[in-house]
Amino acid sequence: MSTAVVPPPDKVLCALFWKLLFRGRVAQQMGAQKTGRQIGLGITLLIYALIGNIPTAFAVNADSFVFASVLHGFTFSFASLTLASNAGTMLFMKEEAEILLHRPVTPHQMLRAKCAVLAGFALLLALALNLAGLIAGLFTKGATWRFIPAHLLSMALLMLFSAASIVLVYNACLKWFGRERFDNLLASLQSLLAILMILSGQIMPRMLGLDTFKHLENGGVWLLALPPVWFGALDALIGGTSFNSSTLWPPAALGLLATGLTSWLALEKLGSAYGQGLMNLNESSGTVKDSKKPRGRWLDALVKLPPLSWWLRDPVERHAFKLTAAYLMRDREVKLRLYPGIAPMLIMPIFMTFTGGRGGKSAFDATTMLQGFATCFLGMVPMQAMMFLGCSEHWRASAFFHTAPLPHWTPLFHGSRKAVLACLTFPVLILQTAILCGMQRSPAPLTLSLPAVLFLPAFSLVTGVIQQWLPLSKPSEEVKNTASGCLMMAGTMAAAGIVGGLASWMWHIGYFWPFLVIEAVVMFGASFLMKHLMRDTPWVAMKE
Amino acid sequence: MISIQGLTKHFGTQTAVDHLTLEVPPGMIVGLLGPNGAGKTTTLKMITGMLQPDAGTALICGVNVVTQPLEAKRLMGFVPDSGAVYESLTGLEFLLMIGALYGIHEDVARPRIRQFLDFFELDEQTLTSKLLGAYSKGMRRKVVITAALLHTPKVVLLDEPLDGLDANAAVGFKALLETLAREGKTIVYSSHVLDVVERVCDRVAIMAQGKLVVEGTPADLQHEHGADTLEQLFTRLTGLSGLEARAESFAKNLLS
Repeated sequence: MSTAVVPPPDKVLCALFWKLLFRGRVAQQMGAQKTGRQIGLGITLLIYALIGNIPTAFAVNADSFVFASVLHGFTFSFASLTLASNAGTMLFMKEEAEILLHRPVTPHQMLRAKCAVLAGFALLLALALNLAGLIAGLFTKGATWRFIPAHLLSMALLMLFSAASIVLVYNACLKWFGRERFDNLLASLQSLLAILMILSGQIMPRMLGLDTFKHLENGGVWLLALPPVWFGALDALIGGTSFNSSTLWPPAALGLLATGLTSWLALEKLGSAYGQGLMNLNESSGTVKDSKKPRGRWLDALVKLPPLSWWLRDPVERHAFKLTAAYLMRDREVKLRLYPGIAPMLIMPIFMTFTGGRGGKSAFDATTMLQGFATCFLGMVPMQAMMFLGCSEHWRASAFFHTAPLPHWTPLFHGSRKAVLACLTFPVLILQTAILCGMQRSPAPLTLSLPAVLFLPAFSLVTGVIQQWLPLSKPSEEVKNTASGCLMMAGTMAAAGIVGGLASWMWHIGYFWPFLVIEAVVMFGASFLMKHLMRDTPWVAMKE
Repeated sequence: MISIQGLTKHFGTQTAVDHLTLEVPPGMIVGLLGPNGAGKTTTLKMITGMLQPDAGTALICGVNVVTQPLEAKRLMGFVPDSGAVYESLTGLEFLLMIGALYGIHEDVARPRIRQFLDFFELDEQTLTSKLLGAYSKGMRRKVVITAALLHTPKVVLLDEPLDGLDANAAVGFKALLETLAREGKTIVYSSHVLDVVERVCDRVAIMAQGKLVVEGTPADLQHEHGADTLEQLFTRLTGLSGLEARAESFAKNLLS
């Protein structure tokens, strides 16, 4: 062994996981790869910095405590959401046990390093998100120059709390649930965490309204349940406030206590379960679930019945549909990445309804505006799903598509696209519309969902126009290439927003049905054009 | 060098390894054989400290794997059958990272890696510029073997190490194993390829249904059980007889 100074394993692991988090493998040349990744990260930080301007509107006439709490609310929802969607794949890489567990490192060290990297990543996002708020905070009531260091400190604590909470939830499930259930549970947990973070971070302060913070002084102890309030109180205590500081001590102390306790529980108390969890995951990798019943019988039956049998007449399309549907329902990786990403799209418009109703608008306006907003989010569902489903850790199996005597790749694309529409997009639309109808006590959302029924199939074609698309055919890391992904999502959201906004407006001025006819014609034309473009895109051979 | 006493592992109601006892002295290459599901990989995972045994002990150079895992892990190198690597790292990044985990400074690791590079005839540019995800199966296997031997371990555990290697690399690797054994390293070689095991290993241990069925030199075992080849001995002891007749019948049905 060398006598030269070697960094301790903890540092080596931190460097490793940091590198893994930021690096994909789109290009085989690392130089090109690094550039792509930096642009992707740059765009993400820029988007976060832009979103961070929204809460600065609250800075005018607000107390520093209230403003800091709102800022933390935004940070908690946006940064923690990204954290939650990255945590599952980082914490539980299927083959990691065979790479690291026989090396001289403990599972505790691995877990600590991963938690540090996750918290660091979240902090980077939080910094971008809070950039404008840090300056705006200086102009809030009671704030002094100390607001900036105070907010930086509390932000770091909030991110540590978020990372530790996520790790804690996973470790608790590892400890208390068996390996057979853990895999499925992981995906559900990640989706649930994403929803919870939105609820407690952004939606709840919105529901409460800024005036509600004054209840804290009047004994509104229920406010103590909100993590952003804990860290906002810490800001106010250090950075100055017009609030009575004695009322801020309990939430601030709670924040410090919760961060310490969560970190201890996640990393030390339940950390021992981590190594076992990794090993279990590795052991179960090939077997999935031991079931004696034949799988996929209902799916077989379903595709043979109308309307799917009419829609899937091409046998290649039908089998691509079944492959994609099976992965949507069974594959751990798809579940871990896709559903947590889609969950907020379903939940956000619903909670906007909840908060929008308090704004004094008429029920009619609120419904139509909300439906336009929901449409923007739904437009991203097929796009995001197709992006995720183009990649898989089983990408090498796509060699079968290349060796099979298929004249073109489009039947595979259309089969997968139809699976995304039938198994994911339309069920989400139906669920969201049903919830909105129930909440609004009106059938209007049902009618207003018709524009989405027309544009969602057209939007699902976009990924195939850009380049050749085969199901599960690229390495998983390519999905992390956020540069093109962000642009595509932004474009889709804008297009969906325009359609949704127009539909709402046309509804408002009484031209909804003529608009629907025009939209149908436009979408049909766009679909025809896109399918034509796809047919001209030739097969591209595998790169390896 | 490796001392296993009553090693046992259950997965639910299934017993994967059942009171396995085995001694592997220094300078010996022992072939671990068995049909699928015999418990070979589970045994290796318990010896490497990846899996916690339900009962029994495993000592590596006298160090208990369960009570002193880090010390034991420093003494051994393991090539898992999956050939798993971090695919987003280059080969060089991966090997330097592994070296650092064993306390090897980069200045020491680099020339060692270069030695392996020369031995396996790996292109240096590939190692530094390509991500592991873009490597061929054989190249990846070479990196995994390098990662297992980089810290010059006293005990080497190999699970299907030749999987993916081309014929030349396989010949070279077998010669390397023999040299390592002569230098006093202890090697456990788990494989399904019986003729390779027969050629490389000093002794073989055959497992079936989690239990050790026989252990000894191939010649002694063949003589003892009246088998002409190791393959014959293996099929006889693991209860898989009449395979050739079954295959012939199957092929005839398929072609008719």
